[in-house]
Amino acid sequence: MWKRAAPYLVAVLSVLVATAIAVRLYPIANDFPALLLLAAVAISASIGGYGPAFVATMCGFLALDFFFESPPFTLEVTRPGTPLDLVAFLIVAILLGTLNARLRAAGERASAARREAEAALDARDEALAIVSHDLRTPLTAIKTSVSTLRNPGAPLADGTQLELLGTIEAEADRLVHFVSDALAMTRLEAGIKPDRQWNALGEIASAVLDRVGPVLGDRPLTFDVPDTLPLARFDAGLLDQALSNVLENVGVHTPPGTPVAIVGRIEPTHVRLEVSDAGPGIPPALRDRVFGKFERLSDGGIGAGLGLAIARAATQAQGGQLLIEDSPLGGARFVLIVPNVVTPEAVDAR
Amino acid sequence: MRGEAPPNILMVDDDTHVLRSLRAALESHGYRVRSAVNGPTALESCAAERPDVVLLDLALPGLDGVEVCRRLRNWSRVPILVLSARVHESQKVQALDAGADDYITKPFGTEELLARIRAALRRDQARRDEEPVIQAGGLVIDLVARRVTVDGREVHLTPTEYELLRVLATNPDRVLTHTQLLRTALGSGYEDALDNLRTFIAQLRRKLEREPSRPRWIVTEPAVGYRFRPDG
Repeated sequence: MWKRAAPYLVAVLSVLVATAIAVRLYPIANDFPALLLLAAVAISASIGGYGPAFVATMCGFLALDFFFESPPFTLEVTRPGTPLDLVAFLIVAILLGTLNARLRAAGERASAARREAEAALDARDEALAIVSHDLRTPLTAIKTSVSTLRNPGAPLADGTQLELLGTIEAEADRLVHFVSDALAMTRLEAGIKPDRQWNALGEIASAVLDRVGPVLGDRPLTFDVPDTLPLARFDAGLLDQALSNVLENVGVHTPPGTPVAIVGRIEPTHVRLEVSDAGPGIPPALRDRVFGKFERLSDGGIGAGLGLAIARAATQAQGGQLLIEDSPLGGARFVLIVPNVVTPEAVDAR
Repeated sequence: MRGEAPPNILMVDDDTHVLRSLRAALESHGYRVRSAVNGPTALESCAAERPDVVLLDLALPGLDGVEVCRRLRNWSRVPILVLSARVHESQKVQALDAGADDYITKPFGTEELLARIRAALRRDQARRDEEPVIQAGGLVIDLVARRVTVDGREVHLTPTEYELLRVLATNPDRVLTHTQLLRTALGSGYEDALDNLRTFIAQLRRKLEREPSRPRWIVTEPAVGYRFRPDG
């Protein structure tokens, strides 16, 4: 409230001060009051924008007429030149006020843009810090293991040698995982044109499950994507990418042995795939955050925290959406909805 | 594998570190290895040395790997394994359509590479042997009688379904692209009839697979094609 009223108060005050000074100097400088009042308008515009500029203009106009135009101390206008003075004041005041207010708005936009750019830079720095950590840590382990194998201080036991070789391989795998994810994310962010073809949803879900099956381990699986579903037109590669990342996330964040269910349906306008788990679930407040890049809300997993970000970006790349709901199994349910673009014209209509 | 001589492998890659480590891995497993660092040398070497398998990187300077594949296929049926750092499905499809037998994404483990090489050599040998009967688990395909049985029970296939099964099964563990399958099953001119292909494959699975929605023999390679898994 105070913040909004202050510029108007400044406008009124500046006109009052200008008037007070002008009343003193009026006897020796006749044109001075009008100029001083214009300065008050300009200041009000710079500080408060259009509204205060208008208030200052009006106050200034009345002050000019009341104090300085003859006859003084009345708003009455008798001298033929007075209306011209007043109108000229009004025009100049409005021009000055508008110009300054516009300048002020431009300045505000510029600083808002700068703040936004700074925030983006901060986010980038943070991402870069994570990337640099995730790259350097495995590289460090690899380099030290190799150096030790090449120049051991004392002859290494066979067990130690194997251990070091194991470290090198595991850390290299971690790097591969990270780099692939980072590249996939970059590719999706650069924007790609979906390649929509006729596909059978069931065989894609089944193929993805065959491939990422090992991360689900012994979790009992319900697979309800019938091979009798009608064909649909969508980008199978992007759906594959989204579904694999969701399933990998389920594999990492739910306890071993808990059930997982995959349900797929084809609607005339869209394809719907649901992955339900019985893990800890994702509270509503975090449902947007888990899709953030480099977001690791819990320990576990060797990923860079890009999996779900990739899943969502891949879904959105073909105009779909990836949502999180409560699962009937007690954990989280990921819902993948992708447009079923049956005719090429439908793409243009969207 | 000709007689007792160890198989001869030609590696084509422009990175000498990759060549060096691959050579060490392959030689330690008993293969004879030659290398080429660009397309033209690779083609010359293939003509002169007649390798048993070619490992081909796609990103070669000058003559592109896909083009090397295409030219090689003009006169040779040598198994070509593409090793590539490119991961997008369309590049995979391009290489396979140009005649590559298999596609491995860099980086890969030595075990994986060796397994793929063995599979390629096996396929090549099977092609030379022209075995009249293919056996895969409970599935038996008699190529002479054009008879298919699952667990001893005869399965009746339409001519198109049989053709699809035959071309898949005679290329075990090899991804065949949509285009390649459509050309075989429906003839040229139908390479875009992807909806038909999906329908034929679904019918085939319903007749063969124990659980058609979770197929074991005819598996899907999303956005690329299909593969016959003999040990399904």
